[in-house]
Amino acid sequence: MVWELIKLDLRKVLTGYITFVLVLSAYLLFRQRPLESTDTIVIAAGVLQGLYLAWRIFRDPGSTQSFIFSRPFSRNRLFWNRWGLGITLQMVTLLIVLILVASGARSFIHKSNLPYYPMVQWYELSVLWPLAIFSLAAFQIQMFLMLRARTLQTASLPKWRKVATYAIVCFIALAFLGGFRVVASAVSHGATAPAHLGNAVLFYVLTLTVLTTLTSLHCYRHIEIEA
Amino acid sequence: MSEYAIETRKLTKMFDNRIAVDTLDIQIPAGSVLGFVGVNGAGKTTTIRILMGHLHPTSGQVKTLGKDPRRHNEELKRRVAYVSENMNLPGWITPERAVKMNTNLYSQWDSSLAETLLDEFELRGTGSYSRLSRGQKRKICILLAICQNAELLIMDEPALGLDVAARHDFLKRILEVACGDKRTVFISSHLLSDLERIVDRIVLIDKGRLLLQGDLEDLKAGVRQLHFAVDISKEELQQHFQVLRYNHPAARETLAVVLDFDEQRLHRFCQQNPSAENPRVFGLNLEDIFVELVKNTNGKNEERTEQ
Repeated sequence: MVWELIKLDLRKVLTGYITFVLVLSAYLLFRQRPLESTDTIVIAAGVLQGLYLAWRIFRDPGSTQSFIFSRPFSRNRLFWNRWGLGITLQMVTLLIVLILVASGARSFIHKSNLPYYPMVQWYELSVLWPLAIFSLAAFQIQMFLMLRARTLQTASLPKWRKVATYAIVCFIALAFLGGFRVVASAVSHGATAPAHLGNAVLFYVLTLTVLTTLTSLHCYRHIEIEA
Repeated sequence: MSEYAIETRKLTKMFDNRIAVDTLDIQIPAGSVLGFVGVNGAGKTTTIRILMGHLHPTSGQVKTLGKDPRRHNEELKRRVAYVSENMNLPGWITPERAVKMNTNLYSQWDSSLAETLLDEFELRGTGSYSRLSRGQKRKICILLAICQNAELLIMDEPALGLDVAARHDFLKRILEVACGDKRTVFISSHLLSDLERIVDRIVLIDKGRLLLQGDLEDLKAGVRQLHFAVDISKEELQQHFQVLRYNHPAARETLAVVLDFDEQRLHRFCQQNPSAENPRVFGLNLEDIFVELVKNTNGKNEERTEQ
């Protein structure tokens, strides 16, 4: 871990991230109906968070690329620091949601409006699943697409390397589709929450995470700094 | 330390089908102050980016401080300080914060020099980087590179945007760095008059190809303008000298720029051509030498003006 690098990246992402967490917390606290794993707003928030974090962390605005890439970090270290920061911030979001729900803040706010039983409070923790999974998937895909695009933008890339990169992309796309088929099949058979967020979804997201992380790392090693 | 701070062998870099660097062979001895010179689009910045490991060569070999910049990326970045043509720091960072950050990143960082330069370059209390003028932005980049105390200092157009006084300070600092610690300094610049004051070696490139490399004093001693008060044919001159430019500015006058001048050679020439006695010999500055070499390469010096 390079603390100076983390500080640089954190600075890029912090304002937007804090705003996001505040808005999400407000939504979770003030939504009157009990929270559940199919909450569309939470799913959208997860996707939004993943996209935003990957975009801000892995993009070096202006001509800061040559500054960042000439500091004493290897490409590997740079990538893992940035990826780790993205994952950590997503975990912090989950932790905040967990604390908000488990502390009983929602039941305190809504006790006059709803028959709020302790069981509901624990049931509401299932909202963590869609937030985690959709945020992680969006983060991974956004990161992968950004880095892949930067690798292919390189005018000096030999043809065989472009073909190889496209082959990797096709393989990953097939893996995504195959995983999606499994997940869709599980859901269409009437699985209920949290069953439909069971093994198939976990397998799908883990595969997606591993593949996109490794290919993104590969792209990061071959990115040409042209700024 | 290896013999050469920078060494390339048949280094080639292509962008699509355009050759940016063409089989470039350069060797820069450790401890030298080198001026890397070429016209716009000559391939200077591309070469520098390859030396830093930012771009990958299409073919050929490159060694920076004896290491392959792609394989020893992290180690080299500790040993090489770099200022690029368009380098920008994150917009929110202040000069003081940038110095503090670099203090934490480099074990050999010179904190006292950094404090001195912050005052000397008047960068203290100037606010965030995005609010600085172009010249101030260059100054902070130069400060960060100099204070890194690196074995090799690579600078791509470092004085771009600096006023005369700031350029003077910058050159003074570069000389201190180079002379004091025997570090290698590699500067690419269009300000040849500045380069001439500080470099001891020169590499000239054009269209990605090496035109010339060597000691600056040797180059200046070899490239001379000869003025004859008689008509002398180009063939006669070429028997003794490598002619860069040849023309007739007036009737019965011959002007030639030669690459390999020395007194003995001129003496022999005058003995064989008695009419050419007492030619006037002029030295050229680096800028004139550069123009002559580039024009010669592009075939623009074959003109013959008859008046």
